[in-house]
Amino acid sequence: MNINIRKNIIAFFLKNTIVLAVFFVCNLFFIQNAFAVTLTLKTENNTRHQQEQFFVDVFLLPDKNENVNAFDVSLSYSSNLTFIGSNDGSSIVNLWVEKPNVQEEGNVSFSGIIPGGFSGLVNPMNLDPINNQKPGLLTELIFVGNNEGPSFINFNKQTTLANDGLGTALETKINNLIINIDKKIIPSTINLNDTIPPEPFSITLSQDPALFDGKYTIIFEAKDKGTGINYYEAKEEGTDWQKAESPYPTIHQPPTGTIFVKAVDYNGNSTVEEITPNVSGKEIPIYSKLLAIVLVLLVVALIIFFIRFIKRKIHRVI
Amino acid sequence: MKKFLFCFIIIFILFFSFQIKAFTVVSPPQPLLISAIVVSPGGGNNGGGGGGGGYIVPTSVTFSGRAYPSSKVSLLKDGQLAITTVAGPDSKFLITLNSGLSEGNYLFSLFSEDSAGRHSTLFNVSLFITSGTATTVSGIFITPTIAVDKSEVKQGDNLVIFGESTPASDIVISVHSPIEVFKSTHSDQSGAYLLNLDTSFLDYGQHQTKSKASVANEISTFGPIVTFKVGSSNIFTKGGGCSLVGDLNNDCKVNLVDFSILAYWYKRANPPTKVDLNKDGKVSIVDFSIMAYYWTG
Repeated sequence: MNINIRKNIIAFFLKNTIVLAVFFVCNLFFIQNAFAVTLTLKTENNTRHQQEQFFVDVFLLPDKNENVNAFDVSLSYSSNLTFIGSNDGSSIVNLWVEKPNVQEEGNVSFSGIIPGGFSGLVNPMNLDPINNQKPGLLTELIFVGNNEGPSFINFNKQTTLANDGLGTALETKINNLIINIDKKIIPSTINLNDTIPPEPFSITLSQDPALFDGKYTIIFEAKDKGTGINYYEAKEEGTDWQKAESPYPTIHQPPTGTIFVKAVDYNGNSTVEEITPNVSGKEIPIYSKLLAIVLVLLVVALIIFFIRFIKRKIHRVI
Repeated sequence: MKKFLFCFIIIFILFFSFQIKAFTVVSPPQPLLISAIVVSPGGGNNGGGGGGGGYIVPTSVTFSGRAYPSSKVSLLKDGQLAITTVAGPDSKFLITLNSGLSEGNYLFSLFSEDSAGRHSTLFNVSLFITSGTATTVSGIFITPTIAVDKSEVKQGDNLVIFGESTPASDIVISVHSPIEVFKSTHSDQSGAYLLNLDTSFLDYGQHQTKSKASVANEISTFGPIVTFKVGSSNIFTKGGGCSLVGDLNNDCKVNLVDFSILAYWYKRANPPTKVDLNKDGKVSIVDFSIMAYYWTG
């Protein structure tokens, strides 16, 4: 570039700092609006009693035209709070990579995906003429206050990813939560009012080298719109019900007989589904093989005996 | 004064180029129409009569819109396949789910499969379903499918970009290189479209392409992304096979089984190559995001 022109551009930039400032602010305004997600922590009442259990809701709201399909969140909380558990019955999350859990003292983390992405929740019975896209609930965390004093729940990791096929990280705004635990000691537990069992679900039998070293594995995922799924149990031929998590390698390899899976929600309602695997090339146990051989020999002997018997009868008649 | 004007023009052009870029990121949404009516027994919308039978109209949700002529349209409920239908010859479809719905939040996803088995991206809507209501979502425009005839094209040769959409629609094809380029074409009466792209303006290296459709004031969002390389030779894409990103067990679906395989390797050392979708040597939330984009249920 010509040296004189370059000098003039520099001079212009220096002389018009206000114009340039306005220019950059305008650009930032437009661009930031196009890439943002808001994560918010909410509770019904910011003053709680000691030993009172309460919900803290985690909401996700993408900006207009933004679409989020995955998140990875970690929250830190003050030492006068204890994390009890979570409820995901009203969650927008379809598949949890990690359900809310405490991996280190004072930190609860969770991650999951929303296939195809989430761009806001619509309630068709309560349409808003200005903006129909409402925040979606990721999870309801249950905490209890231990000691009197101020407490906090803060985001210390918040990754939200765009539904763009590349996993592009989005700029995420956060709204932390401050709660005051007062002097009163009023022990209470959260009342879970849910009488509806989990929805029917399907079980898939899979065998893949990348899953449990190629073992036969059952895969399942149930939904419960009330309180969410608390745990699963599985039962195979000759075994009792035992706790299970999907993916679940079957006890019998290859599986034999019908396999039952029970999904239980946080209020104890359950739904049982079953699968009868039809495994090709299934290995037959050795005792079954011997039994089959004996049976075949017996049938052959009976046929021979019957033919000889008929022949003898005919011979006598002649 | 001339130099001042020259500088001003440069700044002006820069300013507007930024704004245009910002606006192109935000594509206009589809004109979706969402409504719900109460259909519980005795309700006004259900008509009178029928007393004493305890007749309960099930909670239902109906989706309608455009896909491709005679294509299979699938509806996923919370990420799992719930029901399928076939679009009419005019590409219009209507699909109703009236079982397995209780009151609560649901994520509904629709996608279509063209005559060659290529998939659209998911159309998603998160709805709060009220028990005893009939919800309708209309004006859905399923994204076009897309494919290229070469995985590598010799610079300057033509690359054929093709796919399917609703019949007689305007197709805009985006080619991502350092500068995003837009080309347009039309789909025929069978919904098929084709563009011969002269690649002489493209640099050597990896590029991406995607397409969207518009017809009668309705517009789809951009569909699946397909990558190709501009190099020194032509390598034609192999026909057959589904080769879906995220299909880890090769069953031509991206579903709970694939998710389970990925979840098994989450934070584990030395994951198999096929599981590490973004090839960064580990399974992280980014791999799950990539899988969620290509989800078929």
